[in-house]
Amino acid sequence: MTTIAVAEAAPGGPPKVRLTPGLLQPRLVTRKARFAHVALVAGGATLLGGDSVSIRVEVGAGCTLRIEDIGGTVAYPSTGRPSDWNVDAVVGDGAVLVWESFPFVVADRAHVRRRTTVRRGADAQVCLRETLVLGRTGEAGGRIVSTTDIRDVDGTPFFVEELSLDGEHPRPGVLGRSRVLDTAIMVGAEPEEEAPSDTDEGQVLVLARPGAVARAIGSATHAAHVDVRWRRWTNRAERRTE
Amino acid sequence: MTVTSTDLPTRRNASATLAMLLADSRLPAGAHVSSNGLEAGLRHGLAAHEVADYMRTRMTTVVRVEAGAAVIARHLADVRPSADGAADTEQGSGDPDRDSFRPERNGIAPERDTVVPDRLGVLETEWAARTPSAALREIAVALGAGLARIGQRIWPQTAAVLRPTPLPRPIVLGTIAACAGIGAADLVRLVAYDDAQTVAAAVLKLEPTDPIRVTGWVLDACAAMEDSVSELSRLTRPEALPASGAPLIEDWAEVQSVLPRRLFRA
Repeated sequence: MTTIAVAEAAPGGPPKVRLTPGLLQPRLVTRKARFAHVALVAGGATLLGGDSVSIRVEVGAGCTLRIEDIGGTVAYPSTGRPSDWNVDAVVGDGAVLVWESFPFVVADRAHVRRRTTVRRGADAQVCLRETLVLGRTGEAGGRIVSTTDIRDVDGTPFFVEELSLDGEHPRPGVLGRSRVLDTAIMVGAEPEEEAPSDTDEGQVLVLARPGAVARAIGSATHAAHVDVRWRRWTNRAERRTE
Repeated sequence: MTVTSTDLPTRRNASATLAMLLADSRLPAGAHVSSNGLEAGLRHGLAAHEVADYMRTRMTTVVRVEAGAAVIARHLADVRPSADGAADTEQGSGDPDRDSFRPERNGIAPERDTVVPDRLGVLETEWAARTPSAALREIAVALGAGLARIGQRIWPQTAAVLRPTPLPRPIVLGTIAACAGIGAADLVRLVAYDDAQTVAAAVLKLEPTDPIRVTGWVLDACAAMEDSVSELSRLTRPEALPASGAPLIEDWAEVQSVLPRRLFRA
């Protein structure tokens, strides 16, 4: 299991950062007052059939953690066994987690179960980016079931979703014939008002509790993305604990 | 005002009769305003020949959430006092089909009239977290209000729950099911049938085609759902509500809510 744990050491000072390598190697990039930036580097040719990646993230009260994946992930054809990708994050009171990820490519005949669980403390803010791509160039893509479960520590939910995609069996109303689904999730703050002509990045779904999900669906990552909204949301989130 | 169970008229109908009534488009509940996203879908890449597939996709995504919420609401609203004073939420025989008609039931006991709304509130929060589109949440509450108006008059024992706060349609439906006596499996089939038939009625207005062929699509979609009926009808806990998402359906719902010169509200 890969672990990234950040906690306040002395009031107002740089946080204590504990990194434990697993299939993914965490590397400290920078650290300043109440802020840490960690990069995640693949330790080998992830993700093979039967692989199980587990990432545990703990952000202590009042701290901001930015995680950045270095390079995307390709889930390779399964050899009969599905691969698992589990993320478990606990974000303390008043803390901020920003996780910037690169595309997660599900190759032909790959079978992936991806699960992201977040528990959020009072007044904490969380921004997650997930770009799913069905197939490498010229492929239709394999199967992925991606589950997201974001709740307060007391169990009150913000966003719960189980997305089941299969490149071999496109479904109208899910992704249709599109192969790319770019998603930015932000909880713990209301999205800013946008002028209608602000971006052409697809829809923003405003959640019932403070937060939003921005989505772009298309045929290629350069055409379907939520970059503008992601930058806007993460800039605002990271400014909070400065 | 609290309606006590003793002065309620006891209206008793078989589960199948009630399901037919609630799935009937002639019921004055206002359900005709919805195309279940079809209108926006057809303008944004859904082809007319994919409509049968679209109905089936809905069965594996949004219908699971809606049917699940209805079944769980039915369970939570069906609170009868038990010997130890705790809320008894047993499902009777455990067979959802045989559980459908229990004449001894008097609906929601008045002393429970904060317990049930509180539990349904927890369910509504779980449902809302699985319904990220505000447009879908809004239409569900609007359709719920239409159904709640009927529910309160026809089954007065539902009024304690349905009158105070607007609830989304599946939760209203589940509450009516608990009080009127619709079995959990029938309830799942009712939600599924209603969903497909809503798309069917809309496609005949938006892309007119052979209505008998479209009727076949409805039955095919319902048949595809049948394997999930048993699993869904056994749900009891709000956290166990299915969360199967459909990004394009959610997008289309948002687009539909501001669609110019639209025929349908949703």
